[in-house]
Amino acid sequence: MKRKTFSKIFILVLIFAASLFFQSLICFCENTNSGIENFYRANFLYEQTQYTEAIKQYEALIEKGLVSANLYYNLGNSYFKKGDLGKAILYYERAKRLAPRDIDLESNYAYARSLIKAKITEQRPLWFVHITGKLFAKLTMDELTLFIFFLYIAIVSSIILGLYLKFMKPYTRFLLIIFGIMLILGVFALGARICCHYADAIIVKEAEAKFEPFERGTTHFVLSEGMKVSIRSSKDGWAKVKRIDGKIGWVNQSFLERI
Amino acid sequence: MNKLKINYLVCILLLGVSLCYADDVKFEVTTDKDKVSLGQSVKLNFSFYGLQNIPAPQAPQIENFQTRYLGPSTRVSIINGKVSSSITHTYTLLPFKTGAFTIGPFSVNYKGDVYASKPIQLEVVEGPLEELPWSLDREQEAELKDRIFLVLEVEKTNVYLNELVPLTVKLYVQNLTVRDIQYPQFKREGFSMEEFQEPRQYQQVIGRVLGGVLYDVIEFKTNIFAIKTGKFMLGEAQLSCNLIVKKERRKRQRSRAQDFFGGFFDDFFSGDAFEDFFAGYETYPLTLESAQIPMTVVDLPREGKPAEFDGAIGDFKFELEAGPQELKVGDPITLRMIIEGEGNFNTVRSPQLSSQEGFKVYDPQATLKDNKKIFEQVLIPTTENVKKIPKITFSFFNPKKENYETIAKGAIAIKVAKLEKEEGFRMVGMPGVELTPLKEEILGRDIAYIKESAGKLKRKGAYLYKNKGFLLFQAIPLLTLVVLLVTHKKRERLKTDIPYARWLHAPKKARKGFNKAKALLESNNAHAFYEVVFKTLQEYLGDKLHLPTGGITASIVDDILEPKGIAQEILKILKEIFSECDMARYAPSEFSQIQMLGSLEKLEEIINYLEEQKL
Repeated sequence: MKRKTFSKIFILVLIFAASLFFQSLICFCENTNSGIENFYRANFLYEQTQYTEAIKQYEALIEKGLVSANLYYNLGNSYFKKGDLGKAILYYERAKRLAPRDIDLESNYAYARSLIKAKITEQRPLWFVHITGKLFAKLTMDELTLFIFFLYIAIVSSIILGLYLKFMKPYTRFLLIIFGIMLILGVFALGARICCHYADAIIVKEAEAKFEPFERGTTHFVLSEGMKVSIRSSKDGWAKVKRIDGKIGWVNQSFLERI
Repeated sequence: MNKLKINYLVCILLLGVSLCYADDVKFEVTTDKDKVSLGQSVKLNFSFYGLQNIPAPQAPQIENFQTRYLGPSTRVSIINGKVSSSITHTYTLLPFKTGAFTIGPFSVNYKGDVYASKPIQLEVVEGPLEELPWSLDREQEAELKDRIFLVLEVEKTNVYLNELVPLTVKLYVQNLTVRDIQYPQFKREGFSMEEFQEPRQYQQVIGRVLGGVLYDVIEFKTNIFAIKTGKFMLGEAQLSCNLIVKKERRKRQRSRAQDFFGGFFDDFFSGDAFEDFFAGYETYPLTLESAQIPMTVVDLPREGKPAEFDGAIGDFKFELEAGPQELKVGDPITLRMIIEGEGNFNTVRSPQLSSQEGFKVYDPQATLKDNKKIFEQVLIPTTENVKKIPKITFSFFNPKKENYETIAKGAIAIKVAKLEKEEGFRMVGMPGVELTPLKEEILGRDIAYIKESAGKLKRKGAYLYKNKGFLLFQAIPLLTLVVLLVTHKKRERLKTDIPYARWLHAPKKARKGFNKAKALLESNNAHAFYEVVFKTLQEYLGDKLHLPTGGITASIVDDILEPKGIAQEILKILKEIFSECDMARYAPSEFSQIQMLGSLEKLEEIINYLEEQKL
């Protein structure tokens, strides 16, 4: 008697949770079309080479809380045409997070970056970070999350199959090792991605990085417009940033914008 | 262990059998028929009686026959308790020639013993072919060689170095089915060969006009040219194909009328479709060889060799075109030198300008079309003083006329204009020849155009890894896994741990007995009722304490349950119920329904108590 009720409750919980999951997924994937007219108006303005007006329209859409890769891309283009390289790269970076496999975006991003004044060679991160970063570079954060999720399901189901199907037993360990390694890599990459997500910023105006978070501090190095930095900490409107070559200094937060 | 023993036993038995019968081994060679028509095969059987494990002897080499191993067949028979075994290795014989033949004697050497057979007679006749009208007056031996053969032909045998010689390989087939014909190959020391053209197929009569034989001919054509001087043997050409031989030919009585229609009916009834259905056929791989051809290669004559001669051999025409003919200094002129004709184009090299003065000259580009080689060369005049493109001569050796020929074309007049001052002189490269690096191609660089559609709009900052529903869902697979693991563990334990299984199932069984007793109570059957109550109690206690059910009596109350710290009241009730059961079962005393109800309640009380105590 007791066991039957237990299994019934268990199945109910399962169904409930599954429905919750799909509901959330549906909500998540839902297309919102309110405010789409801003986008088309902005495209028209861009065609008329009225880039400042176009930017206003695009940004109005963002203020409504709606974003898309194409929107960021078009904003990047508008800023680029206006001559604002820092902002252009900022928006290309934002677009890249949503559409890492877009060819137009890649080419524009590469071109914009080639226009950055100071050429600084990048300090290579640790090999492990580098490889995992490269491995999943072409996946968006959501795709990566789903990838990890499916690996997790695969691990659970291979354990269960190993328990109940005798012929699966010899392969279970092998499968578990493979899925496990992939899962670890995926989780690591996702972690790194989330870290970068909040730390990375783009210099929007040419700035000087100082040794101390004060205006009177000695200048340590120069940050050109469009450069990518990662924010370590911040204090009184100053951010401690690390340049791609590894140099660290303080810069006024008004010169940079988080991606 | 047991299996191993049995294996040994079988081995020893088998060894015994083979040893037993090794003494009276008989070897016999037989054919399935003693008369066969040309084109048909005969089965040759090597039978060993009293042996089963002798391997197939190598296919015997018999003159005028092709042999092929078909396979073994073994037989064991027991007659009146006497065991006899035999193995027969079967070969097929395909005769190449008509006549009477003696095959064998054969001898086989096996494990030191030599087995010999008697020779056998086999007659090969022309078979049904004799009936064909044109073969009636033929007396000579018909050989397979006459019905399928290969001929290698060249147009001439005395050739010059590098001269192109047409070569033909012909396959003649008469009234045989041949398949899977490969391209011929031949030894060609000192010669280089072009690829074979598509083979041509036609029919040809060989021999006298009336007595001639009609052959199907497959002709392969190509060109060869000598690369060394000296005397060489060309060939022999080899060609592989498969001969299709009918296994059983249906014997047909042919009337004169059928003879009249001759080939038509023959072809019709022996068509492939009929063969496939009614008669099996066998495939024999056949390699045909042609005769050799002696070749003599000589060098080109020294005398009369023009200075411009550059090795070209053949019969050619030479044309020259140039354009544009009016241009400015630095503009390119394209020369087209067309060499057309028959000969070895490998030897044809670009004709040379007699003078390069006033021009910058680029290397020519050659294109070869059938019987035409075109050289395109770019010239750029460097001064306006150039008035013509100089003469171009082309020399070649004509092997038909056996002399050298020279054709001169040009000069072609051109008008070269001066450059206007501001233009300045610049050398224009030949289009397509000079490599332009990709970077140079980009005239202006700009970003790609904006996207026309907004794409998938989503809430800013909405990421799947932050989605609560998604995160909550992660618990489900884990929960499922835990539940399944626990149930699996439990099931495994139930399988192996019998006391546990009994302990676990005791209350369920007790519940069943209780319900049964309740039903009996309602029907007022005291005897059966107490029987059930007693049994239920016995089984319950037996399962719980892991004791044999039959041994549970009132005595266990003192012996086992009391030391376990069971309350005295319960022990008392247990004793009461046991005694009530005994009374009801063995003494014919009457029990009222109320008493029975009391007993049932007692039973329930005991079970509930013991369940609570988790005995």
